[in-house]
Amino acid sequence: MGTRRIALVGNPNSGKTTLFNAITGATQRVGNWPGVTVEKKEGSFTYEGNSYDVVDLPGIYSLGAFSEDEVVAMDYILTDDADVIINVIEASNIERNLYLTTQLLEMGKNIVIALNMVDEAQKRQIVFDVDAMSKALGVPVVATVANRNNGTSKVIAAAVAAIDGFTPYANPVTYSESVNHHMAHIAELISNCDLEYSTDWAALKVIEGDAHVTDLIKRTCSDGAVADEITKFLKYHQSDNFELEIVDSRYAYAQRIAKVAITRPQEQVRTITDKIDQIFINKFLGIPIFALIMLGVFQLTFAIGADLLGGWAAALVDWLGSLFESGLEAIHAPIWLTSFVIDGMFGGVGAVIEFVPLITVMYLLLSLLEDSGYMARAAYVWDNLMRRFGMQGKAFISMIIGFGCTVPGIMSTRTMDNKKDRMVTMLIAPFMSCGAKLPIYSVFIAAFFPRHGGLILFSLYAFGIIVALLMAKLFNKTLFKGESSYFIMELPPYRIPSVSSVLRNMWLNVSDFLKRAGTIIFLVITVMWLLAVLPGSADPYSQYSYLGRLGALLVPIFRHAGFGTWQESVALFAGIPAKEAVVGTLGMLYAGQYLEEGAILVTAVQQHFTQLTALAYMVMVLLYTPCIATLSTVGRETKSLRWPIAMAIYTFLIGWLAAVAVFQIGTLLGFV
Amino acid sequence: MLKEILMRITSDGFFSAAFLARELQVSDETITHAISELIRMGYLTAEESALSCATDACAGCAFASFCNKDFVSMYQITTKGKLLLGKEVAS
Repeated sequence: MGTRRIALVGNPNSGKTTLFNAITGATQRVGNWPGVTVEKKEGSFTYEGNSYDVVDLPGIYSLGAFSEDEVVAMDYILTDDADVIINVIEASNIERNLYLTTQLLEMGKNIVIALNMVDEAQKRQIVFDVDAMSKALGVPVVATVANRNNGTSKVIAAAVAAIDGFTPYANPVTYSESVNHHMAHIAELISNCDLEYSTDWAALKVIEGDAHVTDLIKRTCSDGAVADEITKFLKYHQSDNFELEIVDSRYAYAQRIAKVAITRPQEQVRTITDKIDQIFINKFLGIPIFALIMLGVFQLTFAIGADLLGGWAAALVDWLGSLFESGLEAIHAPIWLTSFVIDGMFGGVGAVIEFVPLITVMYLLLSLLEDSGYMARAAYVWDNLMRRFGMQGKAFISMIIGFGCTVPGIMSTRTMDNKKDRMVTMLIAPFMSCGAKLPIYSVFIAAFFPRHGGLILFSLYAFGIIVALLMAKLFNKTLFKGESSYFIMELPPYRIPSVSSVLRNMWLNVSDFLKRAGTIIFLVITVMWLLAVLPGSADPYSQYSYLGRLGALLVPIFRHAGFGTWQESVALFAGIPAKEAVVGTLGMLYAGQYLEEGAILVTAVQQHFTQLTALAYMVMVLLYTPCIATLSTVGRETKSLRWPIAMAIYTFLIGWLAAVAVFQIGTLLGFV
Repeated sequence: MLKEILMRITSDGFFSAAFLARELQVSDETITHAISELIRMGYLTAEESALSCATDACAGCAFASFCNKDFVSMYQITTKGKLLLGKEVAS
């Protein structure tokens, strides 16, 4: 008797290779399958004086031609002369593993089942009836724990016994009538071809649309008419769903076997996730709950980030500023240098840095929401709302990204195949309040609404979303008519957020804020400082400086919105290179102006604004022209200059109109 | 089972693999496998919901950290899927 061959086949992670190692020990040879990079493992063992070769086939979920691994496994099973196949099944995940078993049974192969990792399954309270499973499948089944070498000798014994005791059997899977009918037709057609495998199985694969097997048949059949007939058949039935019917029949068979073989612990019909979702994604409650959660996020952001930690950051910046000032005085530094360092850097860039705790807390809370699985629900409830405005669920993801920064929010629209959806999402992106605007709101909230910080911030974000949705509707009705794409979302289960993932996400956002403060904000403030102290003939930081003259030109535009000084106007201008520069510029100008008084930004703002003008200013900041980086991204993504120019204009007009409306209506109502 | 899965997820607009598994009395992994089979057979397409800036060409961008917001998996029913469910095919 020559050396017999045994092949091991199973799903990835089913413990197949562990069983292979346990069976073959130190006799392994590792190479590659011919023509591909898939690893080939072979070994051997001796049992009762006879030697057996063993081959470990690649881990696969099914026998198709959909991956290199599957082709290698199927070709081996089809054409090689394995005397028996050990099909390794992961006991905890029996239904999915049985899908592959079903395909092996369809081929009529001589198989032995190794029901592996039964210890893991038992821990999950899954009860097995190995005998019932064996009877239902009509093949031997052996329970194993390959990593402890339990059951290995029984598998070997069963495989060796199966080699000589194999009795051919019929395909146990029941297909639909139409599949059976066409299978009989194709089987008859190829009956005269000299195939190495059963004609029924080959016919099934043709109907299933398996291109690999169909090609093999066409190549094997010498009669060209057969190949033509198969091609004609496939063309004629291309809109039929035979493949789905066949796959479904396999699932049904696998489920039937699983029901006989295992008993799972009674699972709760409704889990906590289901119960929470009943409320959180409810048609009527979903959006109000989202609003409440976001209100909570903003309240906590202010309570912790500003009230609790904000003072420390401001004190640190002040302390460092004093230290540098003393140092510069001690070394008799020129006045311009002291002015640049103290007014420009500490008054300007420092004013932005003071908001790091606030930014940190906000991103920490948003990261917690994201990691808990809630954001997927938010995307779903928003999807429902956005459909009414002619938008799709992916737009919500761009909007969420836009809360951090508008540039990646716009770039994320690249994932949208529908051009209309993509353009509309891009064009409304600037109305999502980005993280760079947070320091501006914070200064005005601290100056005028310290007790209602969360509520004001929430209202600003909500107003931005409302404007975005209204503009989306307008764009959909005018410039971009057509159907939107709708999506099916997969909701992951709720989970306890992972500390490392939340902290990492938070740090990525905060470090980006710091990087911007150290680069682009620094650059903008330096330019603004130069414009504020030049020409030398004018008093620094006065209306006669270059910056003052530029501001004076802008004053008439903003007067109707209530903020009519050159400093306020020019700060908005500085916000176009980078939004944080609004705070930086105000900080620098006020610091320069009130240097002797040691005024801090919040106090200076209280002297220049009223509650009403502060509100109008924040609305302007929320909606007006986005930063240069956003405009250039829109230009790059649309490959046009027209859209960024249009965006700069319509956002400015909307921001200006909204700010004027807030100020004028507020004044009419008697607010100051 | 596949047609039923397709029908359920399409009518609801969302699905949870765990919930569907309990409803159909199969394992979560079977649902995941069934969804991937529906994708493979062309009834569904898996949609990319966010850019993966950490690994591609935009990794060097200052805004890259904001991009990886792949917190929800999205799918779209194809014309073939709509035909299977007997729905009117969108133009």
